[in-house]
Amino acid sequence: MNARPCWVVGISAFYHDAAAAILRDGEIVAAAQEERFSRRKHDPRFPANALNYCLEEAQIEADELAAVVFYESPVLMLDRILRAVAGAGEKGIGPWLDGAPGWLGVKLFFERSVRQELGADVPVLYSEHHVSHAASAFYPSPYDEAAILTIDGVGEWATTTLATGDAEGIRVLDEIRFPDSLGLLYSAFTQYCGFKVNSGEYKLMGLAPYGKPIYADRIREHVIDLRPDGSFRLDMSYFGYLDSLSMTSERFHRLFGGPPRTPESRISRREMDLAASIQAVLEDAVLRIARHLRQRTGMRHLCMAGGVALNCVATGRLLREGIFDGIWVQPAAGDAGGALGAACAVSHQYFGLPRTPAPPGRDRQHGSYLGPAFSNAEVRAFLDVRDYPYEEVSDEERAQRVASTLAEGKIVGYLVGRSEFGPRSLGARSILGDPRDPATQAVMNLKIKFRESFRPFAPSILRERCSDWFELDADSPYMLVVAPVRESRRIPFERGESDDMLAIVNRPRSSVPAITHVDYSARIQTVDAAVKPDFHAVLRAFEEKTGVPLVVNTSFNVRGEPIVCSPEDAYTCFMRTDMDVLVLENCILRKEEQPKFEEDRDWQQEYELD
Amino acid sequence: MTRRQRRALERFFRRELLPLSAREEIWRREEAQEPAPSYWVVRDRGPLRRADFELRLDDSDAIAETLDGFWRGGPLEGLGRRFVALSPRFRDTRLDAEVSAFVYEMF
Repeated sequence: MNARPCWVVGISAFYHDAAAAILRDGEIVAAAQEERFSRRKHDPRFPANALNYCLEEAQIEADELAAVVFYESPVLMLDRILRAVAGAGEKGIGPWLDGAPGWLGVKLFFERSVRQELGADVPVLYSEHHVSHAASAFYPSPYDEAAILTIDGVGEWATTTLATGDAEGIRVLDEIRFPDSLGLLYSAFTQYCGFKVNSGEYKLMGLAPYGKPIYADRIREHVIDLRPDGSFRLDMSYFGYLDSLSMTSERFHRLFGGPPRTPESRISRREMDLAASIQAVLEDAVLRIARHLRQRTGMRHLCMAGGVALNCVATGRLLREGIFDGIWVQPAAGDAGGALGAACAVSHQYFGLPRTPAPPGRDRQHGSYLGPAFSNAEVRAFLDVRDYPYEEVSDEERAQRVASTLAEGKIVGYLVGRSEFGPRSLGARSILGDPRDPATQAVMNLKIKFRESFRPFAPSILRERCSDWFELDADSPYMLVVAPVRESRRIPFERGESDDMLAIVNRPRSSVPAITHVDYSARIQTVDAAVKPDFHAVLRAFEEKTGVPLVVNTSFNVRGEPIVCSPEDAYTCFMRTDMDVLVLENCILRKEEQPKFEEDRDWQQEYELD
Repeated sequence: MTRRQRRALERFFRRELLPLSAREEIWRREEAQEPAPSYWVVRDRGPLRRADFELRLDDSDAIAETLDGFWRGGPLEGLGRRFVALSPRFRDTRLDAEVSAFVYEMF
C-alpha cells in the first residue's frame, strides 16, 4: 500500500505579489499569483483564489495538507520594523501610523486567515524570507549541489544572502542586512528617475542602454562602499526610506543635479545616464559577490532568486563572465516565488523528503507552466454562450495559422496551456509579433500595450537555433538572460546624442529590429519542443515561412493590468487593443469578425499605470 | 483609520517606541568610522533544523508570548504583549491598499 502523499502549500502575502504553491512529496504541482485571479496588479492580499486553485489542481481537500507554510517570519519582520521605527525617532511616527494597522489586523494573524480560508486545522509553519528565496532557487534547479545567491530589497533583516544547497539541504553562510541593500539602491534610482518602486525597476534596466554610465564613479564614491568581496554599505544620508516617504534624500538630489523626474514626464538624457550608471554599479556588485561566493564555496553551479535576480542584464553578464559553470535563476524570483520556495524548504528540510531526480538536461520547474489551463470545451462554452465567432482547428493547423498571421505583420494574442508562474510570459499567455518589422516595437508599445515607446521586446526562439542568432548557446527557457544579437545579424547603428527616444527606437539595428535593443542586446527565451510543444510548433512554422526562427513575445496584458489568466480576460484584452487575431486553445478568433465590444466604463481608468 | 485607533497608535509610539530611540542597541547597524575590509555578516549555523520553521502564532496569547520570548533581554523586552494588546482595535482592518509606489515600505 502506498504511503499517504505529503502535500505542502506555500503562501506569500501581505507585501506584494501574493501567491500560493502546492507540492506533492516535494514535487511541484501548481503555483499561481493572486493577481491573475483578482485582476489587481501585485495584489498583496491573502491569496485565497490562488490557494483554492492549488487545491483544485491537486484534487485534494484542505484536511489532506501536511502543512501550510508562510514565506517569511513575522517575528523577525516585526523585530526589524519596530527597531527601525524606534530608531528613526520622531520621524518614525509617519511609517508607524501607515503600517501598524496592517500588522495588528492582518499580518500577525496569518494562521487565523489560513483557518478561515481552508476551514481546517492545518499545521502552519514559517520559513525565513531569504531561506524561501534560496529554496526556490535551489530545489527546482537541475543541480544536485550549488552555491545560492539571493538579493532583493529586504526580507526580515537580510537583503543579500550567500548559501549552499546539497543533499543535506540549504545552509545559510553570510548575509548583508537592512538598510544596506542592492535592491533598495536600485529602487531608489528607479523612483528618482520617475518610475514606480517595485514595478518600475524593469523600465530602468530597459532604459540603461540609451545612456552612458557617467554617474557610476559618483555613485561608488559617495553612495555605496563596495568592497572587493562584493559586500557593501550604503551611506544612508543619501536615502529617505528609513524615516520619510521618499526613497531618496535632498542630499541625493543635490549629488545628481536636481529633483526627481516627475512620473510620465519626458525622459531626458539625465535619466538615461543615471539608468546606465546604476546598472553598471549593480553589475559590478553582482560580479564581485559571485566571485566571492565561488571562492567561498568552491561550488561549480549557482542558483539565484530575489527581485534583483530578475535583472536579466546583470544575469546575462554573470553568465558570460564564466564565474560559475552553470547558472539557474528561479523564474518567479520575486516575492511570489517565495511561496514556492517556502513549500520546497518545508517539504525537504522539515519533512525530510528527498528530491526527485530532474529529467535529463532539464530542471524541476516544469517550464514554469504551473498555473491554470482551460480545456477546449471550456473555451467553446465561453465563446458559444456569448456568440463570439471563432474557428476550431487542429494543433498543427493552429501553428500554421499563427505563423502565417505573424508573417503578414499582424499581432496575435496567444492563450494555450497552463499559465506561467512568474512575471514573464513564455508562450502560454503571450502577445506575439513579427520581429522583422521595424515598426513592430513602436506599434506594440503604443497601440497594444499602451506603454512607453522605449521599452524593448523579447524574442522567443527555437532552442536549436539560438546560437545562430544570438551570442548564447545555453538554455534560457524563462527569458531571464540577456545576450547580444550575433554580429552577422546586425545593421550598423549610431545611437547619437539625440534625446528623441522614438527616433532611436525606430531606427533598425538588425534584421530582427523589433527585438534588438539599442545596444544590440536581447532578452531571450529559448523554446524546447519537449517543454512547450505547441509554441515550438509556431516558431518552426514561422521559420518555414520566413527563414526566421523567432517571434516577438510580450506578456498578454496592457500596461498596469495583470497578465491574463482566463479566456474571458484574454478576449477582453484582445478587444480593447489593436491585436488582430486571438488564439484560445484550438479556437481562433479574428478581430474583424467580432461583434462591437461595448463597455460601460473607460477601461483605461481601470488599471493604474505601472 | 478611526480617530480612536489613531490615538491608540500615537500613544503606543510615544510611550513605547520613542524612548527606545536613544538606546544604542535598538539599531543593529553599527556605524563604522572607517570602511571595513568586508561587510558580510557571518551566519553559518549549519543546515536548517525543524525548529527553524516552527513559531507559535496561533492566537493573540501565543503571539504575545512568542514575541516576548524573542525579545527577552533586549531593548524590545516586554513589548510583545503590549503590542498585541492593540490588535482587537484593528480586527476589522483590511489589507486593500497597494504598497507605496514612492518608497519601499518598511512594513
